[in-house]
Amino acid sequence: MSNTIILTSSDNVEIPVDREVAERSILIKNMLEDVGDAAANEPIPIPNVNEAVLKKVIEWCVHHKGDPPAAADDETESRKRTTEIDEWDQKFMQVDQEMLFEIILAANYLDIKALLDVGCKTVANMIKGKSPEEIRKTFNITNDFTPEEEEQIRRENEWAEE
Amino acid sequence: MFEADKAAATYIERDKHLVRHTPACDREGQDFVFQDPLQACWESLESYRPPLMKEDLTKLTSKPDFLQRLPPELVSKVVQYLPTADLHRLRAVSLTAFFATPPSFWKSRLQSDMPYAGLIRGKANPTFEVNYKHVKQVVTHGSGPAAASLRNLHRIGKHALEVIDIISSNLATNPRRSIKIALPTPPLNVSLLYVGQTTFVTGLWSSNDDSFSCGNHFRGQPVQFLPGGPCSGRFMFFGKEGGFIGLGFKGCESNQAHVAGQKSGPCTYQGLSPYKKGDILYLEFDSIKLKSVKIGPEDQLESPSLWMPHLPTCHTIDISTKFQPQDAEPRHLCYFGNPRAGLLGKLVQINAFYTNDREAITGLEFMYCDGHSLRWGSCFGTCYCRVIDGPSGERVTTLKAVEMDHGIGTIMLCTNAQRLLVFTSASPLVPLTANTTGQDLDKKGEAIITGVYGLFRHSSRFFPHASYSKTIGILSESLSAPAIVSKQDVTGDGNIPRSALQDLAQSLWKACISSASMENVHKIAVCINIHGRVTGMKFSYGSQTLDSILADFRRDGRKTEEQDLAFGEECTSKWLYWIYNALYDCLLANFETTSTS
Repeated sequence: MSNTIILTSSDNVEIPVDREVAERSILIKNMLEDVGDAAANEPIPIPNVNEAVLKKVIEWCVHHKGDPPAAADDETESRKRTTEIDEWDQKFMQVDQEMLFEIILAANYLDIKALLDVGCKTVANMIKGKSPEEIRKTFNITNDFTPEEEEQIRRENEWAEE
Repeated sequence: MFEADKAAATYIERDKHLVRHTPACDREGQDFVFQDPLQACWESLESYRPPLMKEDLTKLTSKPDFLQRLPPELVSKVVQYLPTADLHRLRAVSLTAFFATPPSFWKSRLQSDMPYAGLIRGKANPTFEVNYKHVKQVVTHGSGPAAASLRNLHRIGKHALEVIDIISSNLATNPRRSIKIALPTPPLNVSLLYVGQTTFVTGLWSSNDDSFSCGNHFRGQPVQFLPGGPCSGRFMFFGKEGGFIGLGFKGCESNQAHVAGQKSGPCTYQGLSPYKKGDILYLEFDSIKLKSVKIGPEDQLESPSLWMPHLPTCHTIDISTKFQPQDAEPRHLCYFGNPRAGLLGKLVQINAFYTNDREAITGLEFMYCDGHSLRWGSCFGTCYCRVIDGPSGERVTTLKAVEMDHGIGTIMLCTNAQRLLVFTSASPLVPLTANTTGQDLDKKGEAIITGVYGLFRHSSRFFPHASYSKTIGILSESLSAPAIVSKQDVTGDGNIPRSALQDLAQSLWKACISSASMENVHKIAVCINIHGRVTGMKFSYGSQTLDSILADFRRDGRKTEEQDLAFGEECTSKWLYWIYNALYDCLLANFETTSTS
């Protein structure tokens, strides 16, 4: 069984990866199990992820190579809301928004739950504590509410303010 | 007038008694007193009407923005990490953001935000369905006792969920529960856990030796370094009602002390245990924190004595102008609330004695749940009793006395449960307020009454053995009175209904915590005091492990009875968290998962 596999990005760049690292992706892990060792020497196409993003994802997988597998989803509701992020992951996620969302999409496609969690938490942390206007600025969102709608939502939110 | 055994106010702050129905429970970091937060009935909440929305916003159309780059399932994954307040702000950003949180999401979110909503009862319609949005609106902006009650529960639940989150997500599977350390100690890291304003010691570990660890370390909670101690000296312990909050050592010749954790604060006890080289320090942890400490030679390990660091402050009540106390005259002192012996937590009854109507009191007797009692004065004559619920946190906070011709004829004790315990030999026609003087200690800070002293005189020709109270003074101490909860109705013959165990799924917490594993539990025994309140529990696990004792569980207690709750083998619950002095119903709510048996 080869220890290195080849991943082909959407822009046709072949990237060699340690098999154990690549198997952080459940998609790739299942694929390798399905095709068997003989076919594992063939490049594996990752059509939804370009080279830059794939390299970034692999960088994350290399760092988290020895991590225990993700536990069963038995977290409490309040636990799910914890947005605590490991220091290394925080630095890893210090990328532009374009890359951040690409990483999230890639993690979702490749089925890397821990990376997906980190990505979603990062976005949530960018939203936390901000006013609607600050959120718009952060993510370059256009306010498409009519003044009446905005007022209505503002009034509705008043009920919920703690 | 408050009656002895009826719940009075719905809400009172701990240190501002006599304030009724004051929903001042939203201030963070303040313990408070509450009575039956479950009085919120659906009918009383339903009468509260928020303004109607002008139109249904879901009819509006949206146009694309950046959130549409992520598929809906990822957007919902992002928003699940947001606190509710941020969600409200997010939905005001744009139409896409608004639709990212559909009604189904809000229902689930509100259910998890308000687990206590399941405790709301319906008076007329027991099968009603809780409208969570309406409950949220009542909690946020409603008024009246029912809303205040919910708000109180909301605050407790919020803290509870925070602590549960810390513990349930970071608890090691099989941590070592006890450790023996040969003195002098090596350098240690001490893990701590914040519960309210208290930091409990939860674990010990060495950065030099991986195998040297005991107790629990909760991620995100503070760690303090305790350098190695001298060859001989004194070990220092700091504790309070909920457990140990700090430990350290002090050299024999040096006054420099090294302490990890807290060493001061309200209601803090401390102790010193001398040790010499070769002695053993034995530390035992429960599932959360340091439970017990012993020190000494290996075959003579002893628990340290803990005491209050400050002597009580004495306040004399100027009760009588006719009977001036003289220095030479001995004062009869009764330290009925000595914290070193934990007497306040055991106090269940106070008796007063009189020989005749309109005669001064001959003494007071303080009775404890373990059967012993302390007396102040000769206690001669007929006994009049009033119950007090010390095990559940009821404390005397104010004493007022009324003088008569022959001495003190009436003593009124007010407790932190806003109950007035009146002892009087006066005729009902005599107004109690006349010539009344007293000290409202609670207005001066966190002080409760722990002792009485005074002079007695012999004046009766008919009862030569009786001595009558002439003056009275009080000892008060800066002890935080623990939360007191309402008198609970005993459910019929005292059995805890099994249905109550199965209906509730979320834990509620207060400041003092302990826990027991629900894994493989065979039997739960509950101690119920004379007021029908649970004072302690024992979990039996058969031969597999030692029993877990929660709070004040004692078989020999005269005033308690046991109720066994037999659980089937299929019980799959995880932990029961006990909050000392917790509400009876909250105790039941602490079952995280339901029994499947």
